[in-house]
Amino acid sequence: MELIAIAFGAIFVNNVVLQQFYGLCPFLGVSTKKSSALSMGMAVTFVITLSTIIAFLLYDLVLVPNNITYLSTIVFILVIASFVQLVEMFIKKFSAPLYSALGVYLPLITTNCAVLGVAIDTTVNGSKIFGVGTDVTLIMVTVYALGISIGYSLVIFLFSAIREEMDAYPIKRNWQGIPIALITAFIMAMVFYGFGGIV
Amino acid sequence: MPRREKSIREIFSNGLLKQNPTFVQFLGMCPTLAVTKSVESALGMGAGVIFVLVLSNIAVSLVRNYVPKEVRIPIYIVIIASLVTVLEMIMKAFVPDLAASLGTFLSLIVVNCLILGRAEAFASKNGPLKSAADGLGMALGFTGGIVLIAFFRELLGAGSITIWGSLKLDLIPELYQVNILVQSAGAFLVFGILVSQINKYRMNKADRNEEV
Repeated sequence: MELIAIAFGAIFVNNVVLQQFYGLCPFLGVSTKKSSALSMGMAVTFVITLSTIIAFLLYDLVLVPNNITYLSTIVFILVIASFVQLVEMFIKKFSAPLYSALGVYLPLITTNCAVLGVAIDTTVNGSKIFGVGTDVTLIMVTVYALGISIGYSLVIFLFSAIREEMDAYPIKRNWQGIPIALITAFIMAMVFYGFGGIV
Repeated sequence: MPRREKSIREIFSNGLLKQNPTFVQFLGMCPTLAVTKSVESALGMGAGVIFVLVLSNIAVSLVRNYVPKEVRIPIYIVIIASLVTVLEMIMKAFVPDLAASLGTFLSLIVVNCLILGRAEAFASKNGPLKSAADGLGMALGFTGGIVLIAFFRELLGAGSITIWGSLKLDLIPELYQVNILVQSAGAFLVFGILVSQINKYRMNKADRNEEV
């Protein structure tokens, strides 16, 4: 039950893009076509979930026992960067269709702040997400990371569908591109407030 | 005619206005929207970015001739991450309240595309003095941008302007405040409107230049 609440909260209530403002650059940059938004969502889901698990294990088993938690930022970014590199090499070798779908998005993910943000939020700032005094377990972190990535994919896909439709309408030239996209995101964020009443 | 070398002053003002990171280049948008709830946290974020960007630009430009091309990005990331760690420690020690209000976004300066972008586009090709000027101009431009957004959000949303701690001006009574602006959704609205108005100004100016 608790896990369902974590997942629901991560997907809808505390949506990673609309509420926490993580990963906005790819959100606005890659969301002009539905197909590329879908690929980006898949790549992000894969990387966020696995790198959060790695970061959590590193934090719990290495950083905390040795009392060097102040190094977490630098350790996490190195782990994420090398993990993304590894994933890229791996799928390039073993799955050509997957590589052609995700290849260009993987290097972008290193500087997607959602990845580092979720890694830090679940470890250093863990009490803020799971409640103070909760014994945070690996399964909770995994569910949370998965929920965050599903929320990211969902929103970026919806957003790209709206933007594809919007291309058909005339928009004043000073509103074209980023400004109208930001207003669209504003309306989507208002809609997502509605989920706050459920939990 | 050979292209003239840009002077330090031109490099500085380039980042401040013409290539403003917030409103023209759209770099580092996550903190732009996340920390602009109050002018105080926007100023704190700006100070952090000034610190990291100036020092990282100087450091990258000093090592630019010794770094092999293939591994330059990881090396830049390590330089930036070390500076951010130093900044985190300084802020937690001296201004713990501000550090708490910036939260995760203090650590996320590491992945602010503005910083890595300037390291790659400018500091890796220019000397330390010019890189420092570029870093300072860009960081001040970024600070100006986020403070402008925070100014409108806080003034219209919470009716006040907080500059530092209790140094706070209450200007609009509660009845006339637009609460949605200080919530997350309001950030998108204020930023979108500001960008469209700045675009309008820039496009009109470009039109006039063409006519002349």
